[in-house]
Amino acid sequence: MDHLFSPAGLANSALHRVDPRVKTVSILCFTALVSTLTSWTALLFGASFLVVLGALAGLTPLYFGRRLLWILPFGGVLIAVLPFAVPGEILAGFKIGTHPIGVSKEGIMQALILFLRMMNAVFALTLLTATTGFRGLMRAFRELRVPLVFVQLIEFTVRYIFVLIEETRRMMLARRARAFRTGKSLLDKRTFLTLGQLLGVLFLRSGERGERIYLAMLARGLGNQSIKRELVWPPTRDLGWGLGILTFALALRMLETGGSSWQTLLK
Amino acid sequence: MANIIEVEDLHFRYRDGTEALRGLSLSIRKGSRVAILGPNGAGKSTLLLHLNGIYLPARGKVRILGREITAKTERWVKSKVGLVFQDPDDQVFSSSVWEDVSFGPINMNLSAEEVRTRVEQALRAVQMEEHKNKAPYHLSYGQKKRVAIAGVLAMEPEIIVLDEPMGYLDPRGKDNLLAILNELHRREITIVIATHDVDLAAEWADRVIIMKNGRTLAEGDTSLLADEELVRAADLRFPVVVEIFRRLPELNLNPLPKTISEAVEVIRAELKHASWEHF
Repeated sequence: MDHLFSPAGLANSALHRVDPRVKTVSILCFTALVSTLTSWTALLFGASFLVVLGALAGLTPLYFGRRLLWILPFGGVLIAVLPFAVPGEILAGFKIGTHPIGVSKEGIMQALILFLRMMNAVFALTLLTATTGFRGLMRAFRELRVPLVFVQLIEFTVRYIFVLIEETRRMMLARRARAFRTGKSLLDKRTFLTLGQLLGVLFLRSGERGERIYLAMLARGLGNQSIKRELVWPPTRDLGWGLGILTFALALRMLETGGSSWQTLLK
Repeated sequence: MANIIEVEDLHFRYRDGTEALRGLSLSIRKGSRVAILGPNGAGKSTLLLHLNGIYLPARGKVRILGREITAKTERWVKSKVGLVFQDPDDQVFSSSVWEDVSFGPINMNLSAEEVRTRVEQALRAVQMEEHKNKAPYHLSYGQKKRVAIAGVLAMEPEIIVLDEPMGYLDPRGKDNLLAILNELHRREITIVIATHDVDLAAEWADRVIIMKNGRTLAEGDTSLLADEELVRAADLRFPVVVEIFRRLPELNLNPLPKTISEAVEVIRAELKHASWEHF
């Protein structure tokens, strides 16, 4: 978790120094634009662009690859199912009982596109978090007027996830100390009951902790401040970076809408 | 010296019907070191929340620096009375030490420059300035406790109230905290702690308030901790030093020593006496 948000790569690359707000806006727009691409070549260009930017910031392709692996368990299932689920020209088939199952060409293509889109999104966010860091990102969100409650929700989650993990670990330990065996199937009634209770207690404790945190915040005068933080316009150099990233995504999008001409060019 | 905290006939009932305070009265002098003792459920934590204006008196009065705490003054009192919670994880909630310590001063609407100076001073006072950019989950329990105290110090309160300050701290952590409290005392900040630790109270406090069932059982100096009737009534126990000398009635000591230094003095005197007799 810590790894997920801490800055990585060169400590002080040009990209690291770009105003967090500019980076956030440009990279999020990049992600949105690139996600609408439908050709795999354009998508590959998008991903390569991000890897090149990453390299400038001292991030290795391996670093990006590792982040992609993290997300694969979620998106991977869908990608694996698509070739079987999309109707079209059957490339290979087999039967389960009397039911024929086939891998379609269209399905493989769609799975590939989906994978590439996911790759672009993960690479883009990796680039953003690795060159901005958690605190920079949160500051950017605040200054971009993301509703405060959302920003606080993220901040509190990150702050307290460790406390909760530690609490769960202690509770598990206390149960194991009294001969509770983990690793049994959830279908085992006692295991289910014990883990259910543990989860319940965790919720209750979190609720109580939440209350105490709130009191502690009140004790230091929460709700008293009128935010008068002056917003400074980002430097032109930073805006240039943002514009560059956006232009690349826009160019990919326009070239693709521009039709097949450029694809034939590549062939 | 004037009373900096005055509580008169304070009552408080929680929503679930628990009567936490039932006519509590006490007074605390400016610059003193006060230990509030009492069994679980005596109402100590509820009282502390009243001192900072988080809870307003349902009945009775709380006066801080001569001003009564009401809905009108509860904001003011938060900058006068700093409250340090028992579990630093409840208090230190920001994603970096610096941000957390600046939370209070920002809420006080101080200028950016003033916030910076105060945060720096507060972190220096608890010797945490080199950790200012760290995330709280990278700190030890004792370090988090010190950040919690810095977060309160940065508001420059005249009174600091700590709930069970030594809980879960290792010996080094306790020593560090004690040194910080002594330094604050030297700066004439009034310090109030709520604790079960009778040894800490005997060693550190110059005034003791004993609570039970939401009322004050006794107020006075640390000799209260050697009072058998009181100690039994309040479900406490004697400080270790007192306990040792209680078992040595042949020494005919009155009053009994309560701190380690007093004990050492008595033992040294006895040794000297014994060696004289030997000759």
